Amino acid sequence: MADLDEDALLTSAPTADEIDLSEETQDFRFLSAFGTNEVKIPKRGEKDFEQHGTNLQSDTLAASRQAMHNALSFQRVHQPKGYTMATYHPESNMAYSYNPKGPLFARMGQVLSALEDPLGNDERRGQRLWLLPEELIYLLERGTIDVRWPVSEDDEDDRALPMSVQAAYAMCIGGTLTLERHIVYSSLKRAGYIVLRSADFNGSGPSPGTECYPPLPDRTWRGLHHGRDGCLLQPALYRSYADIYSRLALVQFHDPTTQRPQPSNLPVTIPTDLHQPLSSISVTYNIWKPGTTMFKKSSPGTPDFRIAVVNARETKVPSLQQLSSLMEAVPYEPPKQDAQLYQKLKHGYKNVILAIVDQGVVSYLRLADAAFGRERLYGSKSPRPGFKHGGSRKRGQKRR
Amino acid sequence: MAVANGHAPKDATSDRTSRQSNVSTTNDSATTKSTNCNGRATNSAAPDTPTTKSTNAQATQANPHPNPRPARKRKPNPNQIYTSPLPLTIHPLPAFHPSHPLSLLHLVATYLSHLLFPPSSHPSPLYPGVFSPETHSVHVTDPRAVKALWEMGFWGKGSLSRSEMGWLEREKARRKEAKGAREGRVKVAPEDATKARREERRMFKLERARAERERILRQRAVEEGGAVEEGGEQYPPNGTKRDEQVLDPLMRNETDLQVEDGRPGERVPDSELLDPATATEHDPLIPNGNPTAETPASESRSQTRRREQVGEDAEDDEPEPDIKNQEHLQLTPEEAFFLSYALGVLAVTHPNSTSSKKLSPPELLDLFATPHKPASSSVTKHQALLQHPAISLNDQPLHARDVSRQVTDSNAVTEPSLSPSASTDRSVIDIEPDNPFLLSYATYHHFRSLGWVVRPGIKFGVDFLLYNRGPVFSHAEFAVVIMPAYTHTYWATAKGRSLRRREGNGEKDWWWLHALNRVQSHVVKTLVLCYVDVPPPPPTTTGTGSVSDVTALFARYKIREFIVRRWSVNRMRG
Repeated sequence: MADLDEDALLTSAPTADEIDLSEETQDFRFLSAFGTNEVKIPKRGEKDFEQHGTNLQSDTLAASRQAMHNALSFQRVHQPKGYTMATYHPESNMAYSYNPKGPLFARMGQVLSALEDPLGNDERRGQRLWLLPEELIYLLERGTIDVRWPVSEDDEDDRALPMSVQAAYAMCIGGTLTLERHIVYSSLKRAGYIVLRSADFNGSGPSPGTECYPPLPDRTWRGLHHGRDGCLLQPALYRSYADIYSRLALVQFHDPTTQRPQPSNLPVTIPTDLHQPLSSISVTYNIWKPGTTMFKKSSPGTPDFRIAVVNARETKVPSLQQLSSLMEAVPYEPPKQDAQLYQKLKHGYKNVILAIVDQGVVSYLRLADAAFGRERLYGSKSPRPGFKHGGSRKRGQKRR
Repeated sequence: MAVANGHAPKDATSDRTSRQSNVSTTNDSATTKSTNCNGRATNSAAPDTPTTKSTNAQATQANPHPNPRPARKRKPNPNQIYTSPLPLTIHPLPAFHPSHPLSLLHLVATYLSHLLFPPSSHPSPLYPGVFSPETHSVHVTDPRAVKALWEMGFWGKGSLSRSEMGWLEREKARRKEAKGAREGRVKVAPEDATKARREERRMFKLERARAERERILRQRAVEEGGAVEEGGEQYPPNGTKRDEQVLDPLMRNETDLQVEDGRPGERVPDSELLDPATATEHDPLIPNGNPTAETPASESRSQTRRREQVGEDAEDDEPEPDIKNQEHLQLTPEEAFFLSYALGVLAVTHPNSTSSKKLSPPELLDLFATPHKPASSSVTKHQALLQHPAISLNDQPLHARDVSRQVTDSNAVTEPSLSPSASTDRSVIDIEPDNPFLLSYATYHHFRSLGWVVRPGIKFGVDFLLYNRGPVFSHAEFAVVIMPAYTHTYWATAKGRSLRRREGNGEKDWWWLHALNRVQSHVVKTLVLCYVDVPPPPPTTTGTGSVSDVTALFARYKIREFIVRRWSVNRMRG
């Protein structure tokens, strides 16, 4: 019956998940409406593949071009009031700024504690906002801050030389901040997300806390019924299929609800591969959705997503060891118990988003630790748990 | 028909008009012939003959609102056919209702009868299956077994069909149709229904393209100031010529499609239409052990010829010709092993073995885990040649030497698959732990034992597709790809590394994963990476070649699934 699914190709329009507005040429006329207060999400129009010689089509195209031109030709000015100076600090590869103004800084930069501050605990420490290298590049590229090199003896006054964008890239990219990480960071920032480094940014962070494990150990034992001779299932009288299925349970599976932390005195020995060193994948950034209003830098709370940045050219599809250690460090987020079967499976017990960067192009994949073994299909009451047409998401889209 | 002609333009597009009328003729005739799918009957008789016209008139009279689509036959309710998820019958005790005291009596009676004469959940005798070394699958020809295996858990696929065995039904329908009989009683094969649906969809697309063209033409006419009547069906006279040029590729495309399919405008003789039966008569995959495969196609041909001689005016109550089923159900090794080992309802025999004794699970496992050698069948032929005394190979010494070397070389490799009795010296624990069959069976068993209907997923580039309840109920939601994992410390040692079947970690690159995920999202399925943790080889001291070995073997595998989906930055903002 697999062929029946092929019919779906003919009829199914891309579902909501598949539509990515960034991947197609848009009708930019919606930009004309931005002057007013009401901002509407642009509707997808019909794609025109070829010129069909009507004035309507060419007028539409011209109007779209003009709208984009108008939007781009808007004069942007820097208000002297909001002028922000920052000074680069080569030793820590960061920059600092005193009392920067602007809404951006409510979600970027940090005031370091007396022990951590590279300039020591002087009286202006509380006003000094330290910017990480990726924040420095992002703000400099954006024109928000004016970064200066440190003051040297050659400078005539106390105004040091300004840092160029090229210099910022040259100084800041390297070490733990790879170019791939910066590409992911800046693209997420431009999309409006709040992006903070995760604890594992500089390698392995602290060992996973209790939030990475299920709250209560509810261990379920599944008995193995061994067949004496012949086969797994003895020829006998069976009263229900659930009974038969439970006797068929044979292969072990990973149960995320029964995972317990490893004893700390026993270090987990990951076998070192001589030919291909086992590169560990870890969560790079924690991100919050753009609409998050309650965000505070001092207590960011639980992030909405966790992003692990990998280089497509240098790594391969992760092995089970890599995925296990990656998932180990991610908090335990079980699906809702009353959710429908497919939603539960797709949500998974833990999840992480992989940002695979191939030479500047980022592809995001969500990996969910689905436990099929936890969701027994045979025990479900309703014969069709929460779906109308199986894989199809729109009614009537596919037919058997 | 009249409706379509009334709206169609009269000038400059006369060919299209005629095509449209042909199409509508087809549809109207299809209404009269309830299961006529693609207008083949219309082609056989010229549409302008008086008989067809009278038929149309009758249909219009009988039905004041002629439905362009053929009236669909009421489908059988799948919920009543496919009730059992496994080919085992269960004997539940009747429920006790406190409001009906007599139901207690019923309960007790059933319980006692089960106690005294316990019915078995297993079929008796077991379903027979024959291993086919050529295709490395198990063939089932017994109609009782075929029906049970398909309807109770969707096992296997018809060798001449897409999934459910339907060749016989199709063949009967084809013969009836060729005879010109009314098709009231013939069941429509799923393939024919699909064909009709595709045709319908194709016509819909053509119609949609035509509407789009007309919309553009109207817009252009408005811009050029041409007078357009209400309804806009008339083309401006000055614009027509240019339109034809601009839209030529589209038009030609449509014409090509029509010609390519040979309908409805073309007159193609029935015999030249592609028919599954014509193709299947020369199917090379009829197994050795299939008893029905011995009927040659000549028999059916002679029957057809005889019927042609009788002529079109033969009585309708002529008995159906006895068609032998040329089709068999073929089970993948995973399905066959699950049915045989886990459920114990299938008795698999080996065609080359002298005894008709069924293969035990360890023997089957050995057979399936041995790599498929396509040369084994030719070796068997050579062996037969060598053993035959009448054929002397001495005339061709080079060839003979080649043959004998081939036989001796491949005997060592294919010995277990040729003679299952010889495989007892090789225990199941000697099979390498990352043997592809072991990994794939562990995955198969895992999902089957959870209640999923698992079917092969090669057409989607994956290992398995997971259906909820079965393919007749819903599309597959999950597409499973097996990823071997070597997490045990044994596999990191030098010896373990050298014994790995895959180089390194068997890693795939990101492009592979993206391609796979892109395909799955296009067919609205979800990709599941199923990591199978390969255990180290068991200690060689244990193991007696018994079934408990098989159970212990698979109990050492561990499975962890990861679901992969695209994550869109723009979608997730809100």
